[in-house]
Amino acid sequence: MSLLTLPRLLTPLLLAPLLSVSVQADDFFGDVSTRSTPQSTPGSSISYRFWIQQQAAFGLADPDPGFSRDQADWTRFETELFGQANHRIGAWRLQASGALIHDWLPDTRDQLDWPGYDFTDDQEDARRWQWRLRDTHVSRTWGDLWLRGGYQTLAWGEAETLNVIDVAGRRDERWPGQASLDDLRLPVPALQAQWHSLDAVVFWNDQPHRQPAAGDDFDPWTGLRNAGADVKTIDADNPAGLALRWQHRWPGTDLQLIAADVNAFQPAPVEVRTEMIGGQPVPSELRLQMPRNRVLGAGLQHSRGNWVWRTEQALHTDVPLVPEQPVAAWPQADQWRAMWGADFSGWRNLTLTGEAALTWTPDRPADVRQSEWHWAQSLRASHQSFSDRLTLEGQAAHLGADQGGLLRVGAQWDLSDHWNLEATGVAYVADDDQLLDPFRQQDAVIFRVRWLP
Amino acid sequence: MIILTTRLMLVLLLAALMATVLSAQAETPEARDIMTQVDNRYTGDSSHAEAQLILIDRRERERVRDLVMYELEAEGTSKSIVFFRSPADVAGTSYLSHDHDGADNDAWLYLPALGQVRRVAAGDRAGAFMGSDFSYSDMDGMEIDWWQYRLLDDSQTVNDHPVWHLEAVPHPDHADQVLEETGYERARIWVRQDNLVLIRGQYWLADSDRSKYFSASELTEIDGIWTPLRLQMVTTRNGEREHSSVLSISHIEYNSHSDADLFTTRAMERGLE
Repeated sequence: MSLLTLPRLLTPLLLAPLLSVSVQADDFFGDVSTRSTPQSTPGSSISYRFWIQQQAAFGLADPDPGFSRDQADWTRFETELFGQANHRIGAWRLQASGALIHDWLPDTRDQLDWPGYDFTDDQEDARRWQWRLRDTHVSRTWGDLWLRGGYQTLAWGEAETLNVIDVAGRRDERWPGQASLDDLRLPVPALQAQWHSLDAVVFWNDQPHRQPAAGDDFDPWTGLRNAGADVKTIDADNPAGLALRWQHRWPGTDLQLIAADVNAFQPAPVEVRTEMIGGQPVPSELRLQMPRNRVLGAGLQHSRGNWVWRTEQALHTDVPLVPEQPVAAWPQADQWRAMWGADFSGWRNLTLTGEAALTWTPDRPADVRQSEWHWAQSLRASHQSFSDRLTLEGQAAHLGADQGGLLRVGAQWDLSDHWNLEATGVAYVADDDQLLDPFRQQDAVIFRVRWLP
Repeated sequence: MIILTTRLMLVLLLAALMATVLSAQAETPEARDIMTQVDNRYTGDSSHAEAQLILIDRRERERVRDLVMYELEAEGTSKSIVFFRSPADVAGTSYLSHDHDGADNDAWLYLPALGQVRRVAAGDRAGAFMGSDFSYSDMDGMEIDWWQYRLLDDSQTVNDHPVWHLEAVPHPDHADQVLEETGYERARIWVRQDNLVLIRGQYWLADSDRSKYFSASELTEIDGIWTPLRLQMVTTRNGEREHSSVLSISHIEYNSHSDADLFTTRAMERGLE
């Protein structure tokens, strides 16, 4: 060490006794320089949002026979261009949004060296450039009455393992457990009216949850299709539906009461046609239909300290139940559905969310897989750090004794306001006799990059 | 009557130390009187502001959020709602708070990706507000009676303005609430004597080697109300700057609205009108 360096190193030590707290604090009270310039756009009537997202997913294991993918391989390489515009004209508000989506995997297989695997026609169609309408609606207020009509996402329930009061929650179910939050919920055509504490929604829900294409990793009917049967989703008997919600909030407590007469978004078999082959009846056509669902329920949230407690309770009528032999019209029964959950956020930036859900089927038909008392549980941990740049999340869900479960871990990193990175791993856990058994080999890792201009 | 920015400053002002030495020292009546004056300073029955929240990491990389904020004083409850207009990944997000006198606060967060309003636990309010150095409790406001104050010096100046230099510690009867809802264990603050505006604060985070430095600048008198147009919070760790946030107000007006329907979860679902 040179003598020239030594005094410089010692200086802070020599000065330390002379520094008061306030003088030291002054260093951090000075204005932090910023490059951003203040912007004021009061009265601006038009706003836009855009992003481009690239997603790639890799299936980690060899699936069971019957699916298009027959080896550990890429499952999709999807580009999404999302856009949203909002416009205010006097008392009217307009919103239009949509996404242009294309999966490059079939193109890559056809034109490059990737050997890949064969896709069904249905898969190829589903993966070509597609325009998907997102929330697109018109709204206006007249005094205490507010109306919104159009294609809109309505989320009325928070239960994660069971639909209790989420009567308008249409979802993308092509990749269960793998979809990003922005892509999970789908809008439905509806006219919504709010007046004081009351919501009334008239639906036109003739579209079921978005289903996997024939041959996809989570196609529930792949075995039947491979046996030559045609699987069709037929129109609902009555696409119109009505839902009412009354909400009230007290200090610390939120309550909502719900009544609905709607089509459930999960289609169920209503008819099986057979033909005789070799003297044996073989299914030739399976017809699925959205069942009519009447729901009477309530949701309650209460916060105290670091906890938020919540419960949802509802009676569902005429719920289709999976029979032991699923290639048949599914019997129906009334169910009481309940969820009890809690969020805990009292330790640094960690949030723990636990949930237990019960389905009680008092008049359970014979020969259905689901037991009279059916429990599901979920535990999720989420941690944010680096000023919310990094979000780590892990979830374990047990969907019930007859179904199986999944494990999910993910990390999201906000590189800047313009670049987001995300990586997720999903593992499916099931025994031979559980509903998720055909999908237990569909474990996957998913990578997403999003650019926001 | 307190607007968001003023309540923000007040909360920071109230953050305090539970250290044995300080908590053993009695509150001085003069300090309590100053704090009561600060609390009673008229800051409008309602306000509407447009601002930028700039987040700066230690490598000087910036992230910018455009905000629209509304506040309203109702009977026994201060209500505020913040709408995020940009960037695209947070646009449409909103945060609603009802700050009840003498009772736990209520808070809700609306995330457009979920399409759903979710109640936020009180404990969340010690956490970062949208990734900034300001916490949710900084934004919400807090009970003045939860704290004890001591006047350290009444002869200092900051930028040539005479200030009171005070120290705050949690009142023993509310120590748990303070720790739970703010995360602070003690504070030193500087209040301008001429207009009762908090212009500086230093806050020590409990069980941590971090502390935060607040400063308010660009004070402007708007409709007779002294308003800082620039609020800054710097988080330090072991004497090194770790992260900074600047709330830069580009437009603010007082008493221009009185619509209670704006401070509801329905308004969050509907978005910025």
